[in-house]
Amino acid sequence: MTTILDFIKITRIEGVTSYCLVSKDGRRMAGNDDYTDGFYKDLGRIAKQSAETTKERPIAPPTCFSVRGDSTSLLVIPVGGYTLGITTAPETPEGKLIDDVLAFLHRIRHQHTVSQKS
Amino acid sequence: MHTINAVLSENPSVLGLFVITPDEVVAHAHSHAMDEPPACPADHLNRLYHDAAGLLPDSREVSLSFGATCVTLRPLRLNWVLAVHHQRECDGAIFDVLQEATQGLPKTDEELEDEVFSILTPDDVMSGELAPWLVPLMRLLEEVSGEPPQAIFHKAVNEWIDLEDPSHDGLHHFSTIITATIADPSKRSLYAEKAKGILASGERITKGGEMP
Repeated sequence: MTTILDFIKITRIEGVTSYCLVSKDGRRMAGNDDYTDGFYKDLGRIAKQSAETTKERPIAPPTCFSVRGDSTSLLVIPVGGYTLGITTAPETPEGKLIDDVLAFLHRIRHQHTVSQKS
Repeated sequence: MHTINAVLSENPSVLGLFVITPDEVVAHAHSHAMDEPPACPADHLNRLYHDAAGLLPDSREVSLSFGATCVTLRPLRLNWVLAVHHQRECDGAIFDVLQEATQGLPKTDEELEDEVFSILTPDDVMSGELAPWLVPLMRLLEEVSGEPPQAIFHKAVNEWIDLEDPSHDGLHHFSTIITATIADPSKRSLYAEKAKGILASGERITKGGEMP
């Protein structure tokens, strides 16, 4: 099973300034910066809201959403019942960051699947 | 200000544009296809924009990623929201242009009462200040095609109005629309060549003050 410790390595991804992992009930399970104090409690609720935008549509829910500000941008990604929030500089290329984070999440899940089988 | 249709026709990466009221009603929808308005790919986007934008104090944009495509949300006046459905690779500057182009769409009840509707028709354009160029272009079409030009011309002016605000600078676009209606390649080339002379004659207005 993926543990909280696995998420620490997410800061190694180029472009990640800070991160927080929030449970459904708004508790911060992991994080590396006080910057997320201002909004982490609302992350899970708004991620759920984002997933519900396609509830009555024939397309899959969004893989993530981002909030772009003048001084920072926030990337929000649902992760197996939790919500991952990542802050980045506004000039960071978002497409690449999303790809890198999704690849990271896939890797840590796959790594544990492999170790459980062996 | 750019017209929405002109911006969409120049940017194929934009799949659709939606202006959403605080009640989540899609008040305006546009896409490249002129036949029918596109369907908005997601619901409750106005509420999502305002809740998500509240996460950051200086937020100016919210974007949902659906893999190959995205929906980018921008604020409009009166708490309306602009939603742009686009390919993932899309020039960010286009959102500024579309936000500017749709900024005037939200209207208060008082503004709607005061508003005087003025719908531009092909007849207005044909009899307006562009007549000195349009009439010779229509005569040329008749001469080259050998058919009554009125219906084709009327349809082409309509298409031009949808594309942009008719102006002297856009006459080249209009001439291209007309040229495309001529099926015979040799007649088409002949029309395009002769039309250049009519369009160029208009340049004298700015240079010497003469009409063509």
